[in-house]
Amino acid sequence: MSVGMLLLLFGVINGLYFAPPDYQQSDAFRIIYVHVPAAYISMMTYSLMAVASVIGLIWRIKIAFAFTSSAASLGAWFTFLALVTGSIWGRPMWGTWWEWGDPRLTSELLMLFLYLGYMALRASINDTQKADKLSSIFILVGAINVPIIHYSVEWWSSLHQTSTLLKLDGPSIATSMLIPLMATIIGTMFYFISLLLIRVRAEVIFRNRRSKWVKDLILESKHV
Amino acid sequence: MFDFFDMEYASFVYSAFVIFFIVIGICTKSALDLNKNYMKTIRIILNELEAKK
Repeated sequence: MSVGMLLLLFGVINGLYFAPPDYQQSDAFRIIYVHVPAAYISMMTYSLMAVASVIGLIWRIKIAFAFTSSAASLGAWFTFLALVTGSIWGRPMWGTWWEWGDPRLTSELLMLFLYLGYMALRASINDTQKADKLSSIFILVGAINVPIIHYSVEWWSSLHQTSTLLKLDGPSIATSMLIPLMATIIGTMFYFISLLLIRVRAEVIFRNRRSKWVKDLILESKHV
Repeated sequence: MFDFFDMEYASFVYSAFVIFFIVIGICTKSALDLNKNYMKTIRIILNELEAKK
């Protein structure tokens, strides 16, 4: 968690004050230092939840379900963040906060609704096993949206620019801008993983609250 | 002296960064609270079980 925060702060300070302004977007481009990590984590989380759902449904590994239920709210927050920071960038660059006809924006918004739908579905079912199964199926149905988000800027006409980092011929961004960006992406990922591990650990312990190992664990330490 | 607002679109840029760190803070608090609440609930269950013995 500390490593993540340090990397994030390094990237943010360098991105804000030491990276040169973009020749077209000027200083507004600096929003990418928070927008890109949020957008990557938003899509990565949903993809991992889909993989965990498959593992849970096929091999019935309980920790997979604990993982999906723990990751959902974090994924939703980072999707919200990607949308809001994107919107703040869009206002000075595109002249609008939001464009309904844009495939990248609307597919990302759909992802937020998928996260919220997943959480609502889980919350509406009391039986944990039933909730695990049904919500995993829901996640898998929604997984079709992940490649749509990623390729939307190539498949359809979009205000959103095409990929800058994930390109076969390498990133199309100057090194002085790339280094802080990589620092914020890796830093945010580390921080996100730390938060996810805290949540998964708590969820696994809670799901096994009647078992002996949890009892022993609680009795051993007062600060679990 | 270094002028933090000596950049174009400063209000947009800083708003985005502030919102980013607010959300990071919310996520951190929520993860720590979840852990704390679950452990508290488990302790209550364990105490009840002990009391029944």
